[in-house]
Amino acid sequence: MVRVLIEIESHEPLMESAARSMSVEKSAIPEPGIKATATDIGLSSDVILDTSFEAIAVGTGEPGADLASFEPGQSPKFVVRADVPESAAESGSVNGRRLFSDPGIAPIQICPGDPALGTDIDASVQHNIPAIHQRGLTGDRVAVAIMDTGISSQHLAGKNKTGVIETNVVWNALAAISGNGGLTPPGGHAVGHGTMCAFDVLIGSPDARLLDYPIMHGFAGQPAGSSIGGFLGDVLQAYAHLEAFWSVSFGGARQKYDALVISNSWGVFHPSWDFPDNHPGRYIDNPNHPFNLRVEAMVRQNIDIIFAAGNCGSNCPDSRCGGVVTDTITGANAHPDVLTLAGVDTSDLRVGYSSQGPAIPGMGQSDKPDVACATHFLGSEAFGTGQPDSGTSTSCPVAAGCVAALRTQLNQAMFPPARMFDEIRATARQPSGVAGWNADLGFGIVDIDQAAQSLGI
Amino acid sequence: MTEGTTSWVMMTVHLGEQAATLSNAAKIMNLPESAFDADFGLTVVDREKALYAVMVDPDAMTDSVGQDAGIKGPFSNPKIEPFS
Repeated sequence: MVRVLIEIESHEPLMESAARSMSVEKSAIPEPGIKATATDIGLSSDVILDTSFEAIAVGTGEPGADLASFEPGQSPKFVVRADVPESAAESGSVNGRRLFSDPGIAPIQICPGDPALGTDIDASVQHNIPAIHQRGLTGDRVAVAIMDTGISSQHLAGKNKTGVIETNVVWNALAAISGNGGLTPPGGHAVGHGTMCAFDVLIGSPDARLLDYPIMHGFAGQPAGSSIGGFLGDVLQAYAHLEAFWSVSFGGARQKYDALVISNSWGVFHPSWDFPDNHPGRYIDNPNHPFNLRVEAMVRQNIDIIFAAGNCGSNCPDSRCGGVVTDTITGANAHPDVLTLAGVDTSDLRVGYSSQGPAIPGMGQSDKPDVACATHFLGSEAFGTGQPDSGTSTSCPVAAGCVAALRTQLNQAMFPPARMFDEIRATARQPSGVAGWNADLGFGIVDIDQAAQSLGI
Repeated sequence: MTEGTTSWVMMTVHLGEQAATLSNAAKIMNLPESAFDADFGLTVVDREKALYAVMVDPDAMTDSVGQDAGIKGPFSNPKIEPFS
């Protein structure tokens, strides 16, 4: 049998069904969509009428029909749903009536290049951020390091976000290749990926201060901020630089800030970028690689580290994934001590490119990603007017902003990263309603208000 | 680091009680200071454990490097890119 839609002439039960479906005073008691059998409306007994499907008035069934003919009482034809023998489906008619396919449909997952769905305001509501802002959890006295391509404070100012860059932390790797002999000051970079990440942190933590670490400065000859890519060694240096500033200038006795969060929207797209499998110095599945040890050491100092899961989801992976869609959460992105972010659109549907779990074997925690945050919405417009903030690159700073907001009142020593992340995981909501971890969204979509309440703030 | 530094080899070295200088790392690794990437310098991996990373010229590496338990590597320094 094949499910189809059948176009059929008017019958009293069909008129009643269509009229009932259009009524604003529907009965509180569920009624069948059509109070009739197939034979009652002139169809043969081998047709199984779907009586739960209310009849639809379609007028004459031809283009250009008068609108009045769509009134159930006047419509000469209706559409009903039924199961028919395959032979009928193949012939295109049943009992002399036209039939049409009724294919299964599913929500359309967002893929690279698709337009934005919703805005940063929708993303904020999706994660219950307004509720924590009402309680004063806005990231005040919290520093968030953006390990990225550099930030344009001018672009952020154009989005009414001013005074958000910490100017006393200058990561100078860029100077070595800029060729202009001078440092690019924090916030002085070209608009691009880093600016997008900065904007997205501020959704959750509008009062946080951003530390600008342009680790992906690109290669010689390319303009600052607009190029993409770098090497892991750059990040290792940047983390060491950040630790020094944190322990000497900002944390401890200086107390300019009460907490430090690091947002990392980068990673290795394909295993071929790394040493071969089983090489003892490989990065992507080796907890003893110096960078993974660096992450562990930072977390030991109660610094919150957030990573994007990656963009190698099976539905529509980034071309840089080279078709590899399993074991794609790798390296520090899969580190047990960090919070790893999958991406959902603002309607709670996983974006098709968001890397799925489990994490690559060897890193010590297979249940990655941990949770999901919004992406692919209209926000910073760092890539042009109307262009979405996209990738798990966006989900990561959205989460970092949420974490920073909690840190407004939550001491990192009393509530170390592992404790906070546990609560974020435990209070996340699964759109499917099935609690627990799954490969698409981890423990679910971040509900930062629930996490805050669970932590007593 | 700049383009081309991928030709350097990332190694780690335990400095123990010694001061955190490239000079001390060079002595432990039995290499001249000229064998190290000065831009990368001596980068702390884990201060509590006195563990540091260096970038070494592979042509200067000898068989003796790596025999010491406090010296490990080479480690990969892969390309990274934004997830957007």
